[in-house]
Amino acid sequence: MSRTLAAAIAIVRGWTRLYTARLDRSARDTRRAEIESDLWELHEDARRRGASPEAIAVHMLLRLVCGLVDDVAWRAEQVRVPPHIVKQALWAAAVASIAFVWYLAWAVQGIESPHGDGINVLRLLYPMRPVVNVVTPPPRIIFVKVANERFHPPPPPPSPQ
Amino acid sequence: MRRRPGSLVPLELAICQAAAALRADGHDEFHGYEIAKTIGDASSGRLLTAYGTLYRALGRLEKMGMLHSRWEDPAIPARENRPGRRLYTLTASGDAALAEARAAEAAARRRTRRRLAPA
Repeated sequence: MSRTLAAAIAIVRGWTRLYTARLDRSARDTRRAEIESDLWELHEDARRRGASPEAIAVHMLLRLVCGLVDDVAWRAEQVRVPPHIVKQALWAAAVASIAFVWYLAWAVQGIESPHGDGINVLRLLYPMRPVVNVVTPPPRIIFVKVANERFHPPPPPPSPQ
Repeated sequence: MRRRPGSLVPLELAICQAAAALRADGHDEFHGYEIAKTIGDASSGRLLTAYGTLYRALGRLEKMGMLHSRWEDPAIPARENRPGRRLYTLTASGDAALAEARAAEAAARRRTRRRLAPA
C-alpha cells in the first residue's frame, strides 16, 4: 500500500474516532465499523478497476471532507443537542473559517514575493494592499557610447565604357 | 430540515431507488458502499456520496422504518479476511414511500407538460 493511501485511510479513521469519541458504545462502534467496511470496499473496488493508490486516496479524502458537516450534525443528534444550538455552532464555525482565511491571507501577503508572477490565489480571497510602501528606485538609464562612424555608402558600380 | 412526515429528501429518495434497483438485480440485501456506488453510477457522478452524508441518511431511513439493517454473520468476513458489512433491506414502507415519490414526480411532469403544451 502506498504511503499516500495509508495516510488517507489513517486520516479517515482518525476523524471517525474523533467525532465518535465519548458517544454511546453502540452508536460509536456501529459508525466506526461501517466506515471501516466502506474504506475496505472502496479500496478493493477501485483496485480491481485499476485505479492508482493516489486516486483512491484523493477519493477517500474528498468523501471525508464533503461529509464533515453531516458527521458533526450526526454527533450532535447522538448527544441530543437541540437543533438550534447545532445551527448556531455551524454558523459560528463558518464565520470563524472565513475569519481565519482572511487573517491567513493578511498574514501571508507580508511574505509574498514582490516578483511573483502568475495567478495569486490569495488575491482572490483578500484585496491585497502592500504592507510596507517599498520605494522602488527609478530605472537606471545606461548611456552606451556609440562609435561615431560616418556612414559610407557602397561605391557605385563601374560605368560600362 | 423541516419536511412533511413520510416525505423523502433527494438523497433518501436516491437511496431508496438504488435499493430497489439492487433488489431488481437480485440483491435483496446491500451494504453502504454498494448503495453509494449504485447512486454514483445512476447519476454518472465521479465522486461517491460522502461518508457522513451517506451513513447519516441511511440511519435516518432506518429510523423512519424504510430500511432495515443487520450485521452479517461474523464468520463470513473472518473467512474472507475483510471487515464485517452492515446489510440493509428496503422495507414495505420504503417501497410505499418510493412509489409515492414516483407518483408525485410523474404528476409534476404531467403538469409541466400540460403547461408547456401549445394552447
